[in-house]
This record gives sequence, structure tokens and C-alpha cells, in this order.
Amino acid sequence: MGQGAQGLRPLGTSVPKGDFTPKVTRYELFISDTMVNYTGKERKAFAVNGQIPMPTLEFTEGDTALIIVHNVMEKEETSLHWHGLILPNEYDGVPYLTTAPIRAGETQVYKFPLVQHGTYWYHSHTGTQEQNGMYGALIIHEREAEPMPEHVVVLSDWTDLKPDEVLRRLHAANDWSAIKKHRIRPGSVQSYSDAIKAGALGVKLKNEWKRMNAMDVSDVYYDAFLANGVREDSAPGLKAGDRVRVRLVNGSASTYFWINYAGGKMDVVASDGADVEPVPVDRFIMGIAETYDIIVTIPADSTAYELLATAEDRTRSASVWLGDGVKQLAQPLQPLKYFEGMKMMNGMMKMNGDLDDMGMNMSLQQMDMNVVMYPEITGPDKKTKRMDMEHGEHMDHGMMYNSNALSDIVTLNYSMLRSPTSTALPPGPVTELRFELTGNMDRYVWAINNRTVGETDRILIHKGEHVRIVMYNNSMMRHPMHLHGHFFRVLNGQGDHAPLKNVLDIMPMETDTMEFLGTEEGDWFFHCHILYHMMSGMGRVFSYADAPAKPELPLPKHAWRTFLSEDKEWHFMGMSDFANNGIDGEAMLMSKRWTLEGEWRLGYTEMHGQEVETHFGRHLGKMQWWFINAGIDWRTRMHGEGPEENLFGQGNTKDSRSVGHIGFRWTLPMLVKFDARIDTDGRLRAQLMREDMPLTPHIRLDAMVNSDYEYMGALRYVFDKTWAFRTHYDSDMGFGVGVTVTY
Amino acid sequence: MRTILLTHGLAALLAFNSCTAQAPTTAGIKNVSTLTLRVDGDCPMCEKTIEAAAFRKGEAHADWDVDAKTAVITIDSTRTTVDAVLRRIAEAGYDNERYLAPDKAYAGLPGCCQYERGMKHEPVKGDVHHDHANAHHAEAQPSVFDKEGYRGTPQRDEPVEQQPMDPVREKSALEALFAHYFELKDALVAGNGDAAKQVAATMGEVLHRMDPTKLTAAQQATWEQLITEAMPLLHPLSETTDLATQRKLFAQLTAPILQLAETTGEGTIYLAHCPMYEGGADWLTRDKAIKNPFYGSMMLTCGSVTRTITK
Repeated sequence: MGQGAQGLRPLGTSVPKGDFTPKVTRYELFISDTMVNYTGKERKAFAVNGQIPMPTLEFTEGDTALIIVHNVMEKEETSLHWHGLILPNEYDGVPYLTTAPIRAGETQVYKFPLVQHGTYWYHSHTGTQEQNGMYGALIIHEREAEPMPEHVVVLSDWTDLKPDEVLRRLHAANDWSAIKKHRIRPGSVQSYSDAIKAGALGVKLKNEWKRMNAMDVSDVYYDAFLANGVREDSAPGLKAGDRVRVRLVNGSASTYFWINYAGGKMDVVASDGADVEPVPVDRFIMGIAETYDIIVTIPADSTAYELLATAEDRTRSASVWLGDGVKQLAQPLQPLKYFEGMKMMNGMMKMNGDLDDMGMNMSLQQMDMNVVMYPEITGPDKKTKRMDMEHGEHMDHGMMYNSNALSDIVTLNYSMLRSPTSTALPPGPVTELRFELTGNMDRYVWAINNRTVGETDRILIHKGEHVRIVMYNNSMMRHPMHLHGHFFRVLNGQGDHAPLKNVLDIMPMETDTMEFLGTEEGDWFFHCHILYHMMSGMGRVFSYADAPAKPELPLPKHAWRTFLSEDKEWHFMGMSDFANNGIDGEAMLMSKRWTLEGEWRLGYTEMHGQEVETHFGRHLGKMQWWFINAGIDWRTRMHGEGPEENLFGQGNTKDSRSVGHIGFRWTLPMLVKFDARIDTDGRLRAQLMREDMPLTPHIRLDAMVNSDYEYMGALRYVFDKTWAFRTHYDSDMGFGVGVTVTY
Repeated sequence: MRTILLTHGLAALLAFNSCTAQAPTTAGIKNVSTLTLRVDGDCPMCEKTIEAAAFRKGEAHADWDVDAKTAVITIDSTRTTVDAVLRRIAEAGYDNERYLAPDKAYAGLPGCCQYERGMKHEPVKGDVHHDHANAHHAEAQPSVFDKEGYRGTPQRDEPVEQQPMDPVREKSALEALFAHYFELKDALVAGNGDAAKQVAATMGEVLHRMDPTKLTAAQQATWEQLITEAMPLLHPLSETTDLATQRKLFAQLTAPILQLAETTGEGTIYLAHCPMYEGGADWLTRDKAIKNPFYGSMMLTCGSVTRTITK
């Protein structure tokens, strides 16, 4: 590290000013599990030295960090990754990839020189521990910096659900998060009744025609958003005229935050630790894992000015009060206009699931399609700004989404960042990679070039090489892409002064280009920093050729497999209805591409009988609209009624069946699933089914009809994530009323 | 700091008194806790807004007194806090002892509700740090706004066009003044206090530099009226970005500008009337469609054309 073999200096390293004697700064960290209570409910979490967030580690550039990490938990293993730091690969802290995991009771020592300055952070890279408290700020002070009051703010999101359950529910396309959001922000479920109220039924229908479930700007419902572990943090002791450097870290697992300040403009002076030329803005959005340094002014005495961090879904916010006295509020962000967003997506989505940017060449957050949902930019209701724009002759198509052109609020975007020093790379060979970010919400699989990290091998790179990545986001969600152990240059039109970052937020339909210089050794993770996207496959590993062996990982093949095992995990979901006429339900075991599922209908009488079906199959295509499967179908009953033949004129075996079958399931427009199969006796069956149609925020409709003249209709009222009341009519079982349990 | 302690002490005292006095009147709320606090406002319309912002069924309730400028706040202390209620009141636009309204929320209040913001502390001016900061901005901005692909905010960032002060063209200076009036009106329609401030400053400058000896007698009369009536309005207008203050001043500016219109105007202009603002106020517009400068987007189409002036 540091000076590489070719004498290359890593991008983003700094030469400390003045004469100084380097010293070693030592921290001892004790990781334990603990119980916390943010919402009135006791929950398990992780703490370091008894605190959440983990303690802020402060260093000075040119010194050496010595961090001794003790895992004092009984069973769980853990890890710590030093986010944004340029350091030897074995200290990067990705368990099984670069570093050994810290097993229960073990101690690990990190010692590395501090070759840069700025605002960074550290967090667990094991499972979902980061969601539950394992995040903290890491500050490397510049030598001989202008003295100025400082305040460090670590933002985070908190859910009362276990993070593993959050992930499991996302894979099951369960919309409980939306129902929870609906209680704070009505309309969040984007149900049919919400659509009718908003006068947007046509928009909703077109959305489902294009096979989209309700879209949201974030997938997870959070019970609280925190600044330094509390909803309201404060920085007292400031006086009028003071300039304060606020070091903001977005340490959340999956929340983008809008930052607004009540005391005037904010000067953005650094991003992801790297200095930028000051840019005065009214607001900016912080991607997950991004850091921003801002300088703000305290306008008057005896007043505490609000620095407001609002979650992108605008359900809740966290506040930091700068100064003391009466609290000057920042203007809160009004609820999103969801159906405007849906309408915009309808326009951009092609029938095959690809996105169409209509020739706008979007990049660097300059055009934010979401502005259609922001009342502060496009007006309080859909009529206002839209009308102006239709009549405005000067607006080209792209201007419609440029929030800085649409309002007098200045919103930061990446094209406004400029490095104060040249970041031009020394001459060298260039390798260009093209990454298309893809994903599907229904099964929650996120990928690069339609391959998850577990489905690909490492990308080999060489020292001295320029690795240029052209990224295109062909998914419906934004992704904060993070590269370990390097800064990259964001090619944003600033030429030699392209800003350095280590996280790049890329919005849907954007194409961004970044490049980094190969100066290190070993393996470096590149991944989406939305925890649940990373866990669902969105990543790659860059691997330097001729890297030395890693003594801390003595079984490299085994370690690599263990590293990837997270990506290959199977998730279980199940639901069963207990009604007066019988029990029916289904259970599924799912991986990225495969599903094993079972369905059952168990009557209480011989007439209704019993029926069990199983399928095992593979999902095909980027959008996974195809499911090719084989299975077993078994049933017995003493019904004796109903049609003798099926639609294809074949005999009916509804009373006794024990066959195998193969077939496929295809998701049609309106999210109708067409299921066709042939069984081992040569009988055909075709079926149309629609499940979970959201009539109102709480009511779901299921409907089914097939070529055996079977049909079913059901209405469910969802009480909470587990319980629902259900009434249904089934051609075999008749009318039933009962409760549904969902796991 | 002392004033803060003092008001808090006072609040605590009031709370003590009101706990005993107000408790029986809070039907529907359990675990009652009551506090009387200063909440600024001006009129019965404010009362409605304040009380609606505070209200949550079975949880919180406020009773605001327009004369005393205090609100009796009653809450179920197991379900919410007084701070939560006061925060909502401030978000609705009303300063109170613990929270000051966001400037945008205050600016969005109807004219009659725009009370004096007595609790807001004046920003310090001329501070060394602050000046440094501004200089900083001035340097940083070009690199941002000059750039290809980035479009800033046109109203704010494009400099207001300066008319050349050529003494032989005094008549065009009057015309320029007239044109600037419409810019000022548009800025107020858009709710852009920064732009309004800049335009007012330009108008003051144009008027100040005009040489009356180069004008005709009729024009001189107009000029005199502008100096005596418009100038005292333009000066404070150019000193503030606060929309409420600007709109009050603008309402008085219409009369002298109307005089100007009658001497220099070209084409057709309209005199429009808003019956609601300050008991009725007028403005001039070149466009017959109503765009109310007194309320901005809140009541954009309030008002009617009362006179057509053609020249």
C-alpha cells in the first residue's frame, strides 16, 4: 500500500502540512450485544464500548491508527470495516474476503498508517449487524487546519423488526412496510382506493399493466431515524456569527436522507472524506454510506437552528440543534406525491422491464425524476407546475426534471462537486468495464449485468491500471455504489478537477462514469451500500493479479465460498388460512434463482378431502417473469360432483390424483400469473391467478380460475404482519371464513 | 441566555397556575397536563390555524387567546409532549416560546396573519466571520454556475439588468422604472423575496440618478411624486427579503406608479384589485389574467381587474 510497486500514489492521499512527530493513536473497542429501547419495545442490538452509535474515532493525518477490537459476545462472530480508508487489504475488514472474522471471545488488532484526512466511518460487514447499531464515525483531522467548531453527526435508521426478517419479507414481496408507512403518510400503499382518491386509477392500472407493484423510494419501514443515536441531537455552546463544520455520516442501512438547514445556506466542503471547492446549497441528499462536510453559520444568538435530516420516503426525520435557545425550525418536507411518481415510472418503463430515458442522457443526479413527487419543487398538487411547464416554451424535456431550474431551491448534484486539486491520473493502461445495474422488486434479487456476486468470479485488475467503470442503472431504485480501499474520480465535466468519492449514488436511468487507479494489492469489494441490496446480490470483487497469500485466511477457497454463502442463502416464507371449511396455505423456500414451494388444501370432511402440490423450479430472465418447474400433485376426496371433463376434453381426476407434472408460470400484464402444466398421465392444466391485489390499504383480493373449471375468490383484511381476516369462495371447498397467518 | 431562563421560569409559573384552573375543561383527554405559553399571531384566522395545528383527537388540544397571545395547551402526557404540539404550531407558521416557524411557513401565511416576529432574534451583521463566508460564496459561485449543464435559479442568479444612466435619455429611465415595477410584482407573485429586494434596489438607484431638469413639465410632476412617495417605500423594500414586509410596501407603491403609467405607459395595462389584502389593495399588470402579488401561490387568482389604462 502507500507507495505501490510503480511508485504510484493512491488517489486521495494527502501530504500532511508542517513538521510533526508521527505518533500512534490507540483505541480499544469491545463489541457486545445489548438490549435497546427506541420505541417502547425492547430489542436486541450491538454496542461498542456500551454505546450506539459506536464511539467516534479521531485521528490526525500522518499518524498511525492502532485499534484493538475485542468480540465479547457469547456466540456471534463479527467484523469491522473502515469505510473509505486507504489501507492494507488484510485490514479492510470484509470477513472471509480480506480479513478473518472476529469470532466470539477473540481479539483482532488493526494497525495502519493514516495517509488521508477527512470524514469517514466504520461498521460491521457481517450479515445485518450494521442495521442494529454497528456504525460509528471515524475522523482523520487535517494537520494545521483552520480552527473551527466542529460537530460530528452519524445518521441511522432503526427498525423494531429483526433485520433478517426485514430481508426475508422483502424476498417474499410482502407489503407490510407500506401499510406501516400508510399510518404516517396516507397513500403509501398506493392501493386502488388510494388511486381513486388521488384521481389516478388509470395511472395505477397502467402501472400494473406494466407488471409493477406499488413503487416507493425506499423498501423498508423504519420506526425511527436517529442522529447520533437520538431523534434530536444538539450542539450547544455556539454563538452568533460562528461558522461550524458539521461532519455528516449516513450510517443507515437503507435510508437516503435529505439535509436542510434553518439558518441559511450550507457550504458543502467535502464529500466521502475528500475535499471539494465550497458549494453553497439549500439542500442535498445523502446516499447511504456517503459522508458530507458542510460549513454553516449561526445567524443569531439565543437560537438553536435545526439541521433537519428527513428520510427520503418522508415518513420521519431526525434533527440536530445547532446553538442554544428557542428552536428555529427548518421547513419540513411535505409528503411525496406517489401517483405522480407512478405516472413518471409508467412513462419510463418499457413492457420488457427495461427503462427508457427518452433520450435524456441522465447522469450525476442532475435530473431527478423524483421531482415530480416533491411538492416543494413541483407544487403542492399535480395541477400547478405541470401546467406551467406545458405552456413553457423554453423548457426542453430534460429541464422538467432539473430541480434547480424548476425552483429557487438550490439542490446539490454531483456535477457541482469540484476537487480543489488536480486528480488527473498518471499515464497508464485503461480497462473499461460496463456495469448494468438490474433488479426485480417482486423477488428482491439485485444484480450487476444480471449476475449476483455469488454467480460471478472476481474481476482481475493490475497495478498501475486505470479501471474505468461505466455504470447504467436499469433498475427502478437508486443505488449507492461503494468501492473499498480506493477513491475513484467521478467524471463530471470538471476535467482534471474531477471530485474524488468512494460512494456514488446512481439514480434510475442514469449513466455515470468513474475511474480509479490500481495502487493496491488483494481483493476489494465493490457493492451497493443498501444493506438489503448487498445481501441480495448486488456486488463484485476486484482482485489484483499476483496478490500475495493471506496468512489470516489460510484456506482461500473455503474462505471465498464462505464469503459468497451470504449470497446463496435460502429464505423461507409461508402463509396458511384456517377457515370454517378447511385449511389452505402455501410455503416457499427461495434462493436468487430457485424456488421450492408447497401448497395445501385440507378439508375437514371426506367430501372436501385433501390436496397437496409441490413445485421446484428456476426463475428465468432479468425480471424473473418466467418460472419453469416440476412437481408432484396429490389429492383425495369423495366429492363426486363437478364437470367430468376439463376444458381440453380430458377426464377429470379431481377425486383421486397422484401424479408428477412439469410446467411453467409466466407473469402477465396486470401481474396475472399464467400457469400451464402437463402431468405424467398426459393431462393438461392452464390457470390464471392474481394474488395480493391491493383494493384498499388493508384489503387484498385474490382470484383464480383454471381449465379444470376450478375457481376461487378471496378477500383478506390485513391486521398486522402476521394476522389477517379472510373470506373466500372456492369451487371445491365452498364458502369459508377464517384467519390467515403469515410468516 | 438570561432571557431564555426568564421565559422558561415564567412558563413554569404559568403552568403551575393553569394546571388547577384548566383541568376540568379538557373532556376527551386523559392524564391531563396543561401549560400556558406565548404563541404569536394576529387575528381570528390565526386562532383557527393554531388550534387546528395543535389538535389531535384524545391527545392534544390548544386554546389560543388573540389578545394575550398565549395558548393554553392540554395534552395527554402519556401519549404526547407539549414540545410536539408547539412544533406543529410553529410548522403551521406561528412562533412560540420554544419553536420559531420556518421562514417559508411564515411567509405563506395570509397577509392578515403576518404578525410581528417579536421572538425571532435579529441576525448579527458585519461579523468578521460572516463577511468572510460571503466572500467565500462569491468566489465559489462562478465555478458552479458557469458550468455547462448546470442551470441555476434564473430569478436569483442572473443580475438585474442595469439601465444606462445617460442624461439625454431620462424619459427611458422613467420607462425603465415602469418596467421594473412589473418585475417587482412578478417577484412577489413568485414569492421570491431575494429577487424583489434586488429589483427594489435597482428602482431606487434609477430614481436617485435621474436628472429632473431634462424632463418635460408633466414628467417632472411625476418625478416629484415618485421621489416623495415611491422613494420612501423602495428604500425599506430593498432592505429586506421578508415577503410580508415587501408586500405591505408594494401595496402602497401602486398609487405613485399609476401616476407614472398615465404619463409614460405604453400599450394597455390593467389596474387590478384584491379586496382581501389589508382591507383592499391594488396593483398594475400588463396581463389581464389575475396573478395576485400579495398572497403568491396561496391565493394566486384572488382579485379582479377594475380599470383598463390604454395609452
